[in-house]
Amino acid sequence: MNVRLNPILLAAALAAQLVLAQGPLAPSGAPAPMMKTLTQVEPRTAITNVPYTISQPGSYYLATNVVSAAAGVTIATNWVTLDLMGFTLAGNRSGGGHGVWIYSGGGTVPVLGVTVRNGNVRGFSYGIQAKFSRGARFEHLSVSSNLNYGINLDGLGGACDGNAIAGCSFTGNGLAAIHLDGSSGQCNGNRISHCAIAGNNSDGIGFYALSGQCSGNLIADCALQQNGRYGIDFNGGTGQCNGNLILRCVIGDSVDSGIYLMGDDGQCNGNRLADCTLGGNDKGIEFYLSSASGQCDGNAIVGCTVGESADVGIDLGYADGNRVEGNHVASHAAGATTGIDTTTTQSNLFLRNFCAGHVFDFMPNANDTYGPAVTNSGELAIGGAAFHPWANFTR
Amino acid sequence: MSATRCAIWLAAAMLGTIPRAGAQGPLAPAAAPGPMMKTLGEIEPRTPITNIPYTIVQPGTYYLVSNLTSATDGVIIRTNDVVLDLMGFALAGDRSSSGDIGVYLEGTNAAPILDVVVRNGSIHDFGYGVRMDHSRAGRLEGLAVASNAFGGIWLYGRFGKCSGNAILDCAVHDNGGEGIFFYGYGGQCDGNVIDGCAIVRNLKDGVTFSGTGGQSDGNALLRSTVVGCSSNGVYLDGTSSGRCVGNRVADCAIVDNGQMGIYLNGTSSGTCHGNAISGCTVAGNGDMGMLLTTSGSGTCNDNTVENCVVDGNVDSGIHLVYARGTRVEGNHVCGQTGLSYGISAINASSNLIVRNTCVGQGNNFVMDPDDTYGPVVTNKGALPNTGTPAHPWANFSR
Repeated sequence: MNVRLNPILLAAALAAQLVLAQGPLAPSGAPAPMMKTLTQVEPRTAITNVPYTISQPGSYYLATNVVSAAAGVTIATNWVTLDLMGFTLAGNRSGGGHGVWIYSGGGTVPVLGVTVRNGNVRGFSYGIQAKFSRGARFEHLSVSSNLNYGINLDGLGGACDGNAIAGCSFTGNGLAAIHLDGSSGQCNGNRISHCAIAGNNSDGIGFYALSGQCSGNLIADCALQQNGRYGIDFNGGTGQCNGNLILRCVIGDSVDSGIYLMGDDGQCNGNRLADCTLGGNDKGIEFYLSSASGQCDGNAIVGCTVGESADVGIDLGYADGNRVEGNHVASHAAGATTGIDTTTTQSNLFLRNFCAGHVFDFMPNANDTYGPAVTNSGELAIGGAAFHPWANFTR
Repeated sequence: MSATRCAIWLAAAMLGTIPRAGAQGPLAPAAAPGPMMKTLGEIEPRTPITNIPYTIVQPGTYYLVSNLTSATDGVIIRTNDVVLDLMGFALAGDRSSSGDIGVYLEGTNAAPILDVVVRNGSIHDFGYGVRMDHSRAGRLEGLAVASNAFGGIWLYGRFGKCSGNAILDCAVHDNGGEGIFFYGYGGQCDGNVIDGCAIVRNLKDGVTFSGTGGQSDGNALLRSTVVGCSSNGVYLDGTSSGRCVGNRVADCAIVDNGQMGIYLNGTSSGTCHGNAISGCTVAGNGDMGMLLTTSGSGTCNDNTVENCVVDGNVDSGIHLVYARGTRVEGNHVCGQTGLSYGISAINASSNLIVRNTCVGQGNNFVMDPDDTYGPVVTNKGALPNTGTPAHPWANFSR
């Protein structure tokens, strides 16, 4: 086929194409921002000096190590994150204020949604005082050498519920490393996990429920060592410390008992202590009532290893209806009087435990229920007490 | 060696050093110098969010640059592969009781949302704090989700699928409805996990796995506290021809909730099967500690309740109604008030109730003859070596 090109049409077509390829001359819109402001790069508010009061919700960070002779950072509003950025918030140990003080300032009004993380708090009256905080989170902090408490979750006369302390370390605090105060109020549903708590002058972790509640809290996967009073202390005197969980904690060399539940004129009921390791404490686990006027009832101690206690391994005084099962209680320390001891108790169940090395391995009360104590050496007999499925073993 | 030869050797050695002059390298630079500076965009490559409502339609990493408030929704995510870092700031609603949502993963059954992470901040005073519609493999980390009018966190699989998501280290409190709600109606809400959360003071259930009319299977609630919620602590709802199968509740403190501590419900032609509850404290709840129930038209079978401490609840510690094939083992049940039952079973069959201890209830054990159970031992003192006290599957009553 012969095709004859019309040169005029060809030129026009080419010209049109070339013109269209230029695109419209008018810009499609205003140019988009090509740059970020410094505020967009670091939008949080820097704290360069203390005392500093946060009265607006937001995200704040330390820009340097800071020292104060009085308070550190006061958080007086909800929805605040304070990132210490690895720096140190330091007091001068004069007791003039708290490192971080969370309080609305208005009666028992709660403070919601506060997070403090990532740095050191030392040398204040309380490292952190969280009064009526709810849903707060304290993570990756080193809290040391404060005159009183390391962290105090304070529900005195109000509520301090649903907070979390995770991945923190505590040492050298003048009172308890972590203190939860539910007296005349409540301190419920809090979580403490993966914390290292050593060398504080009083309790490692203390719950105080005088005429109030410290219930439904969870302590898991913590190490508590060489604290000056109890490792973990539940004081339900005239109040309630009920339904708490202590799981997989290591508690050693406490001056007093490793785990202590006290229910004088109140309750320490329905708690579960499981899979903990306790070594070198005065007493390993102690339930204490000075009389029958309170309750330490209905708790379970299961699967724990209680070793080298200076005194009793597991001691239940006036405590009723507890289940003590599958624990390993051994101490050859001088003065290690008793493995499992009950005084004036009833209806407790002691099953499948192993005690070794004490002057008296088992001292159950006649009103308790317990598997027979098997003392055999050599291969266990097929029959008799040695064959009892609920036997306790003593060597 | 002669002096001449020494001189020659010395000269040769010196000559040998000549090539070392070349070790100085060429004088001309190998290439143009590299950049010594970073741009601000390189230092903070993420996309800032400065106002809400804000809709994310492109994958990427986003962050808040301040507290943000909205009278409608907060951040809406309509694409996969998004990280939203709240940077410690708060997304706030106006608590207008409308159905607005703080963070809304707006997937559909046809277009699910994959791999979204929301972390590090607060979401409050919306209708719902977080709603994850048809989300898969999403993660919520380190959030405070509080004071929302209707609910804290909703995983929404209605007529679709909301699966494989994780809620980690969050505080979920003071919400006007459920703290955390898995909604599988007409679809599924499966394989999600809640770990390390504090779920307190919500005005309905603390946690609901709702398979009603659908399924909510294979979810886990672990190492959390569920305290002071107005309705049930934990509710596994397999009612209305739905199913709640193979879920796990472990190592949780479930205390002082208004109704049941843990409630497994397979009524109305529903299925509540194969769930495992272990190592929890269930105390001081306003109704029963645990209720596993169905009616004639549904099933609540094959679940396990193990190694829990159940104390101070109302009426029954652990109560089975029409339940079958349940294993109740190693629990310690004390001090229930009201009608004061420890472990009780009504119209139940084929359940296995062994090695439990019940103390202080008016009726420690009320078994159904169609169940299998260890003998109830009431002895004081050392257990004798024969008879029921030496039975390896004995239950103990004091």
